[in-house]
Parts: sequence; structure tokens; C-alpha cells
Amino acid sequence: MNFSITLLEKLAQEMAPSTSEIIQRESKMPILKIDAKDLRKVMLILRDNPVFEMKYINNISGVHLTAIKEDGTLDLKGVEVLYVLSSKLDFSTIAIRVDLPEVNPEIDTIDDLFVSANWFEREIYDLLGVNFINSQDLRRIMLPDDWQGHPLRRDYKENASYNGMPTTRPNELDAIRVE
Amino acid sequence: MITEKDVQSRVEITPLNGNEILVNMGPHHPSTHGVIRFILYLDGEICVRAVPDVGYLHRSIEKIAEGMPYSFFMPYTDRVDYVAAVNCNLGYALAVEQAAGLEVPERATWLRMLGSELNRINSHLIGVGALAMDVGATTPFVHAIREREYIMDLLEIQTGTRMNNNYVRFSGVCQDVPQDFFSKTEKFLNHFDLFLGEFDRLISTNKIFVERLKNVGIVTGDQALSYSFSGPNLRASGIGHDLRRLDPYCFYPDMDFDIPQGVGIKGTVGDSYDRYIVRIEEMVESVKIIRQILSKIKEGPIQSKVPKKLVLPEGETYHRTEAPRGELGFHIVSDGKSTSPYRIKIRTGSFASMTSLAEVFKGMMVADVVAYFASLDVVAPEVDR
Repeated sequence: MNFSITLLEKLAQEMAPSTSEIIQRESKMPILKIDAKDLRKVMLILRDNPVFEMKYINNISGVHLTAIKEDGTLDLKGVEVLYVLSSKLDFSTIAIRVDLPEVNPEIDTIDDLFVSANWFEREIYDLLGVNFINSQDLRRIMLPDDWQGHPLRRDYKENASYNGMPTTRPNELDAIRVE
Repeated sequence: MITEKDVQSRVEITPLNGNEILVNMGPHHPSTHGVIRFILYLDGEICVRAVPDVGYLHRSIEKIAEGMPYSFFMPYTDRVDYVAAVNCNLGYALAVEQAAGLEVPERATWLRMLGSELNRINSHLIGVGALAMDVGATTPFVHAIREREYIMDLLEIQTGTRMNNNYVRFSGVCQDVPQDFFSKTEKFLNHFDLFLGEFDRLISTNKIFVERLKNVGIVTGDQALSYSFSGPNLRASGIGHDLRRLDPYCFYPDMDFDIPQGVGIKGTVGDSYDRYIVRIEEMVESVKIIRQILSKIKEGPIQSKVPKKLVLPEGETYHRTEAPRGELGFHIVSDGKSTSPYRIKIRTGSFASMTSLAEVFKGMMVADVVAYFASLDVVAPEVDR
């Protein structure tokens, strides 16, 4: 796997004085964790600095971070957005992670810098409820526009019905089944 | 009948200017390959603005993954791209194996490669056949389907099923192949070499076909990168990235094969004809790879030991492989305690290809819209997952 740690270290220097941290340093995929407010600055460095030439977005994905408390309930810890980008030159790849707060998760869009980012962002908005500020076109992409909630959140509860259609149905065989 | 309200429920409609008319294409349309919908704003026959609308095949595979052990998710991966099931199995298995540090026996790796290259030919046959049909030539599609039938027979012997082949297991494959499988494969390859020449004479150099595709939907290298194109679509734009070389997995580094690129053989680099011809060339390369596999494969075990309760170490990985439609990436997050994945995100080539449509459709004739879209070889379930 050609995830590059040297490029991450260069990037960390380049983006100073903004702070960043390399996590999973020993693993196959080292990740640079940055603050949400630095995202656009970092993406501009990655795209335009000749050292990086990262013109290619492999993937943007979101993860709802939770932990299970002692009493069994969920401790909601916010949403992670992971950007995987590749270099135009040799296709070496880096991963950038941004953690967003649980309440009102929002981050600047990068769809004016990379065309394909818009669809990846729309998917994260649709399934995880992250608001991408100044996005050109932030609509649901997988689910209908009038859908309630964001299904890939761990605390998501499906509504009993959608537009009059029940989302579950009773098993008719339960009536004849002996407990 | 579709009313204006139905259209508006999915897509925001902007007011029409002058002579513009609004055409709803799909979701059920012969050229949308499954259920994908476009809202086209037309001025005469020219497309002024286009809004692609997907999601009709959303099966929430990623949500399903969160509720089951890692191994139970394997059959869902071959539903991600039903034309290239073994490739999707392989992508998922490699991602988990890498994170868990599992070993794969040599023969199993060869069999995986054999299955995925057969599947690649299978998938490209559908791609080029459907492209020909979409631009008006029905016969090549029938020829392609006929050849695909032989591959499906081989895959049936190897994997047990004709479609949605659930073949790969963690650290191995589900079954070995019978003795005569390799000779049957060899026989098929000898026949397939002849078929490719026949197919070229039938359609690849057909004047009408070439005229329909050349200089249509030109995507330059820089544009292809910004649209996140991958696989044959990226290579057709003149960028020779192939993950089998750049990010090697299985025994691909030992294989001798070329990476076909678009050179603008009939028109401009990155036009629809280049995307077609790159797929034809890739089938030739896959045949080369399969021949090498057949000469190198040896007897041996096909499965190593896997812990009964597979728990991945805490953290996240992103693993990518070269599927027929481009980069197939699995982003797997584990909490280090549970036997089921915390989150799986599947990045597919078709989803990325779709991001180009709104821009490229602008200014195109409606007939070219169909030709361009077919040349991307998008499969709807892979877009929606």
C-alpha cells in the first residue's frame, strides 16, 4: 500500500503554524488529523503546491463516532470525515482526517477545488447529516428529499412509515407460532 | 404519467429560458443501464443543462455491514457490482486480510486472480456490447453476450454460480477447481483470441460506429483527474494509472502485461472511442494474464486458518483494488472489540464516473449524451450501493 508518511510530514511542516497530528503512524495507513477550520488551506496546498500535486480525490467518507457507555447507552462523539487524495505525479496517496462536533457538524466544502468532491460530500450529507458550508449543490443523493434523518448515524431510528408506506410489516405467521 | 410534482420531488427545477424544453430521461430507459435518471434541459436537440439523479437502487449495503460479522458481509460485496462479483469479493477480502494480518496460500491467490481476470473480460464484454447497442448496433451485443456465456460456464465450474459468484473467503477461496478446468479455460482463450478479431472486424472499425464515438465526450487528462475517473476511463484520457501496478496486490507484480492507454486513435485523446478501445485492449491483456496464471499455478492448499472470532485491530484502513470499472476502495473502521465492522464505506468506479455527467453533457446532442454515458460503462447498483 503506498500511503506516504513522508508526504504527511512535509504537509505538516507546510501548514504550520496550524497544528496537526499524525495518527496510526505505525500502520499501513498513516493519517494526518487536522482542524476543520484549516481544511481549505490544506486542500489548496495539496492541490497547488508542486511538491504534492494532489489533483485526484480517491474517496471522501464519513464515520459517526460513538462509544458505548457503562449503562449501555450511546456516547455520541461527533462525525469524522476522511479525505483520501492521490498525487498526479506518481499516484502516491495520503489520508487527511477531520473530526467534527456532534452538535451541528459542519465543514467547508471543497467542491470548487475538486469537481468530484460534490457527489462525495452529498453522500455524507445524506447519510450522516454533515453540512458542507458554501456547497454548490447540497441535496440528498441516495434517499428521497423528504426522508427524515440520516441513516448511517449510529443513533438513527427509522420512522414507522414513509409517505404512508409502513417501513416494517408484522409477520402473519406469528399468530400460529407457539412461543 | 409523470407530473411536474413528481419531477420536483427529486430535483429542483429551474425556470426554462426561451425555447428550452424539459425532458425526463429514465429512471427506466434502455440506455441508462439499470435505474438512473437524467433531467435534461434541451434547446432543440442540444442539452443546455443536465441533472443526473441516482439512488433508485440504494440498498443500504453499508448500513447492513454494521450489523454482521466480517465474514457474513462477503455475499453482499458481490451485489455491489453484479457484473464483476469476484473482483468485489477480492477487494473486500484483501482489505480485511491486510488489516487483520492474515496469510493467503499461494494457490488461492492464483485462483482469485484467475476468477477476477475472467470476470474482467466478462464485464468488459458487457461494457463494449452495451455501448454498441446504445449507439444503434444490436448485433455486437448478441455476440458479446454469446462469449460471456462461455465465461459464465467457466465461472460456474470454478465458483459454483453463474452470477453473483460468492467465491473468495478470508485467507482462501471457497472451493478448488476440478482437474479439467484449466484445459477448458485454455480452450476458451484460444477461441476468444479469434473472437476478438471477429469483433473488431464487426464493429470496432465500422465507419458508422467510429463516427458516432470519435470526438464525442472528450475528457482531457486533467479533467479526468478532477472527476476522480479511475480504471479504463482514466486510462482512456491518457493517464496510465493501473492499481495492479501502482498499488500491487496478489501476484500482479510478477505478471507481464501492458497497460493500454487512450491515444486518440480515431479522434482526440479521451473521447468515447478511446474509452471503447481501451476496454477491447484490456481484454487482450486479461487473456495474457490468464495464460500466465495457467502456466504458473501449482497444487497446494486453498485455505489457511482464520480465527473463528475475527476482530480487526482498532483503527481504520482504506484498501483499493483495480476492478473492471476502476478503483474499488474499502474504507473499514474497526473499534477493536466487536466482531462486526464499525463502518464500511465502499468507493466504486461508477460513482466517481457519474460526477462528470453534469459538466460533460452541457452542449451535447441528445444522441451523444447516450453515447458518452454508455462509454463510461456505469453500472447502477455500483453507483447506489
